[in-house]
Amino acid sequence: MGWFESTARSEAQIEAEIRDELEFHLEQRTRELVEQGMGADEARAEAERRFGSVERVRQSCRRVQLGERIMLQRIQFVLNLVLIVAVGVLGWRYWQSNASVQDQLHKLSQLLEPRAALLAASAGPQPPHSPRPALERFKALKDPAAAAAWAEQMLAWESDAGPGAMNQGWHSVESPQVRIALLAPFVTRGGHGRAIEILHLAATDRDAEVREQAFRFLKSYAFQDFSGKPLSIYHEWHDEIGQKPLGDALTESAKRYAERLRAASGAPLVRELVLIESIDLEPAQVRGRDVLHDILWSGGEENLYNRAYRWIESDNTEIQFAGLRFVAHFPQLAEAISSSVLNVVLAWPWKSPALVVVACRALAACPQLPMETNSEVSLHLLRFCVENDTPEVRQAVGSGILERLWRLPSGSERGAAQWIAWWKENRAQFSDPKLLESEDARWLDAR
Amino acid sequence: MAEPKSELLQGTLHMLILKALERGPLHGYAIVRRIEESSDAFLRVEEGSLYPALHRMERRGWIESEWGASESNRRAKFYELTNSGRRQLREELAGWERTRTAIEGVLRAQPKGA
Repeated sequence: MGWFESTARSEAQIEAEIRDELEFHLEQRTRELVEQGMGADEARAEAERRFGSVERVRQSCRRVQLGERIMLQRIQFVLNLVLIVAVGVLGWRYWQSNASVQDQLHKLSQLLEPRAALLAASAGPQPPHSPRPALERFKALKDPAAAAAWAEQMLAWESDAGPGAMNQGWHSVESPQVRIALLAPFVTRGGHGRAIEILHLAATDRDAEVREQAFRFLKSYAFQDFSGKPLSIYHEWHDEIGQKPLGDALTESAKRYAERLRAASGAPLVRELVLIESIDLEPAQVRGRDVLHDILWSGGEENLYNRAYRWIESDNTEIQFAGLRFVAHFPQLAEAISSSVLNVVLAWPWKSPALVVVACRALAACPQLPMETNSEVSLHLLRFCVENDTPEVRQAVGSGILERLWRLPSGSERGAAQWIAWWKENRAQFSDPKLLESEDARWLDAR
Repeated sequence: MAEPKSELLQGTLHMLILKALERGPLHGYAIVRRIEESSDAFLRVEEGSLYPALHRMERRGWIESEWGASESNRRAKFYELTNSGRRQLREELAGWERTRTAIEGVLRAQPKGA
């Protein structure tokens, strides 16, 4: 048996082999003695006597066979012991050094305290520092008055930690009245960065009374009362925004926000944004959310071109309206995407006349119109004016686009009959077969 | 069988075991028997010391073991000499020869003035 085989065997196997080997020896000696005429028991006893202590021999053999393993086990034990001691010593030394650092910090703070006091004195009177409210007391609140006091204390402390703790423990507060009492200070005071989270907790509360209170708050206050990021409510409450009555409450709040913006700013851009917002809020949830996301929430003007293009090319008519109104305030932008605006015009009669009117207002803002499409668009607009002979159309198209495209005399007062007459008089000026054979030309010819 | 007359001289057990195995594999009991028979039952191997010695010699690589069937068809552990064991046997025999020569020299020496 080789060394590897020997070391690969288990201790139990080695011990069993030793026992077998010794037993074989005793059996052989016993048999020999029996053959010599001795009784079996006597022979066994004699064999054992000659052999000596079987247990001692077994132990000796075991030590020889397992000596290396035993030694390795002892080395391992010693190494483990050394390791444990080393870790203990290192830990103790770290504790010692940490204690030393703490001591040094303490001395340093003692050194700096007088200077800090001097600085504070030179800075004038400071408001008293509010103690940190005990967050662990939050879940145990039983009384509405105590809850309101706790919330006031948290507001005075001016930390987001309070709402964070309330997020985790809100549902474990048993009393609905206590939850309402917690809600009110954060919402009515306004300006707290995470009031919107608390409002969300209340608006989705298990108790109808709490939810109703949250809805009342939503309807009574504009968005910016709840959050430093207006309309973030649409993001944070994405799942609930289509639900009644919560969705209605949100819409109400958004309208208040729009009114406030409209009243607060005279800048054309903001006015237009508010206009777009108010239009899109009326049908409420889904459309309002999408448009507001695009127009207001994304922010920044670096992607204005792309955003305007996307709105005008949208399948959603309301978004197209919003986009066209928006670009009318930016002549350069309107000109840059004038081909998209013209496509809106050419989409009539599949699109509403009102949309074409808005598109014409956007085109009117362009310093220079795209000449390559003048004839086709002009003819189409002429037909549009004849078919939609209203003051609004006369104002938007007749006095704006057509006269610029065809250098027509002011046509703001022109009605359908006058446009038809103009076409018949001037048709000979047009030689482009594509134009003359177009559906619009044939339609006008038929008048 | 005559009762063994003498215990082994200290330090000779390894040599006797190696010598017993020179002619082929044997189990422990057979090694004892061969030593006793070869010495006309004069030498008596202390049986209890045989097996630790066998295991020690195996660890040293002088012999190797393998389980097999005995003459009575009983499972037994057989030991066999290795090349290293043969070299060891030669060294042990040479050492023994030197010892024997030295002892004989001492024994032959005549007292001065005899």
